[in-house]
Amino acid sequence: MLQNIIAGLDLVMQWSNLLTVLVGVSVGMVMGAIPGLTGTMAIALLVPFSIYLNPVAGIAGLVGLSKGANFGGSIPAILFNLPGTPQAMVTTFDGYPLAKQGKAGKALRMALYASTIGDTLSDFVLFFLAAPVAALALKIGPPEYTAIILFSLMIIAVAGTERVVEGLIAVGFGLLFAIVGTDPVTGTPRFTFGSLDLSSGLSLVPTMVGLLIVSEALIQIERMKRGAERKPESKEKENDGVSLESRISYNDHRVSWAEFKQCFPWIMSGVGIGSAIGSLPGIGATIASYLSYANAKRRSKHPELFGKGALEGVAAAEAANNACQGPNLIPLITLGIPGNVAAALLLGAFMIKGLLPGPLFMQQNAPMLYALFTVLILSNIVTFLFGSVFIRLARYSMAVPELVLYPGIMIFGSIGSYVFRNNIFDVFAMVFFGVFGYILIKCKIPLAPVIVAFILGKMFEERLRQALAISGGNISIFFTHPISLGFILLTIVSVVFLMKRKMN
Amino acid sequence: MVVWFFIMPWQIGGEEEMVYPRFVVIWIGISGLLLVAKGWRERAELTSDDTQNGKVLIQVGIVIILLISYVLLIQCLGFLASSFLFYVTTTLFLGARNWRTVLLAPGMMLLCVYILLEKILNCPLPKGYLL
Repeated sequence: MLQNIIAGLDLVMQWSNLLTVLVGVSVGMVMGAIPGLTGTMAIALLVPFSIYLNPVAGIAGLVGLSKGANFGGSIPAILFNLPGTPQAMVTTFDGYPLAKQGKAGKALRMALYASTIGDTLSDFVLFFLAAPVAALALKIGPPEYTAIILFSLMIIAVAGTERVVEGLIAVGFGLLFAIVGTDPVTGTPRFTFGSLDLSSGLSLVPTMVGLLIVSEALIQIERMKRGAERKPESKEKENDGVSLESRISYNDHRVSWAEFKQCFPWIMSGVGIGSAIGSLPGIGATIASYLSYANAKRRSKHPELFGKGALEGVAAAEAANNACQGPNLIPLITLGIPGNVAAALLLGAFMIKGLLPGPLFMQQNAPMLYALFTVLILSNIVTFLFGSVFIRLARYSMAVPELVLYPGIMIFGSIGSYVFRNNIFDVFAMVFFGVFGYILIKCKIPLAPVIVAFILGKMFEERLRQALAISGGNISIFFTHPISLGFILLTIVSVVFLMKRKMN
Repeated sequence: MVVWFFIMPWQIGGEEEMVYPRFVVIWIGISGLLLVAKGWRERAELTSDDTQNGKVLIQVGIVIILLISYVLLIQCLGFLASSFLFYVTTTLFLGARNWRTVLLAPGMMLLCVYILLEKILNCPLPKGYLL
């Protein structure tokens, strides 16, 4: 093991990799700080460019991007009451009241400390749990795999979305798009409509860029055209009479040792909640931060301060949403099954690099895995250092005019789609998926299950057909294997429980 | 129904190959029926806010047409020229009137893209009659 750790360190400790982490974190932080752009969008935009980097540098850049964007999302949440990422919503509850009191610097610093502590501890959870889970995963066969993928898809459809039926349809669309290409058993073409470009299936990058970037740009353009342009500074001046300058430059911007000690228990409970939620597929960081915030409020000595500017509220929310990041990678690394869209995009990046996460990944690519762990920790250190500086400059990232932002990201998305295979067909595919994603959003159908199902679709079909081939076409194979039966029962119980809760 | 009766027999060869696509189509079909039932139940809850603003949708449609034209133009004009044209047209359409916003932002961005891709990453961008 020690040998593998050293080999992993050796892979990472090169100037080019360190520079990629730094660039990834800084770009992620800027993109996360711009409302309308999320960490997931940042990864989708930059995945195609990672093919020009070595595997470690490519993965390092994307991990840095994700971590930077996660913290970046809390900056507009605190300064303007506009969460930069969905999971930063809970941070606004106390972060923004603190900013109105002239304590924006204090709130931002606490968010940074809680984020990096939460993220780092959760990476250790991944480090210690990945090996035992992978050892268990080695013992499972096609029927068990099929049941686990079905469980993940159903949970992502039901728990990860507000609307259950729409989530199920989204999974169906993802599976349908994954069929395009050639039959994995017989090799005959399916849904290719005579096109050579479709014979190898729909390419991952244009699909992701279209669904995540172009559709979101169209939605934002629609919002702009409806006349609801984002003018946070002027609105705040009207509403509160507190200027941005006075919020930032107020003297009380440091977190004292006493304040940190007061917040520490909520950071640790946030880490526990975030790690537990993060290891389950599809549930997500937003729910973790809500639960952590509610827990801190219920158990605090001063619950009346929550919602009015309690530093503990910021700490609890930020620690939990960042603590999801490490455990989110457990199903990805050990089973090759992504737990959320960001993990699905990372899986895409791994596949582009010719690496296939799964039970054998730890055995076959142990140094690469330890390189990933090193990159995760390194990205947290860079986030902490760069974040301390970025807090002072954050307000400028909000100054990017929306009029140039959305056409710009559509062009950037086109470049990404093109450079992936140097094929103009992929740019057309991106436009198709952009328009399709826009229509889905208008129909209130979530996009995250489409993407995860699209990525898992091929694996699901292969495992399902392998299992049926073993049993001679008898579906009882899924009910006679204990792990498979367990996951099928777990799927039914979870879906019924979650649907009942949503109905209530 | 369209996929099941028309596209699948046309696009998929044998019976064995049909099994999994049929499973997926059934999944979508059942979810679709549930959605129709849900929509029927919730129809009374619709308010005027839920109805789409036709004018705004036409404007989004124009942006989509601009995007499709841009991709078509890439092959004729080249990537840089068509991107510049799309950027300027879309920014103007969205309401920008300041020449620095309209010309400088696309110019700077495309220059950075050119240096990053062509010079640093050695990735050739599509060429056309212009750039």
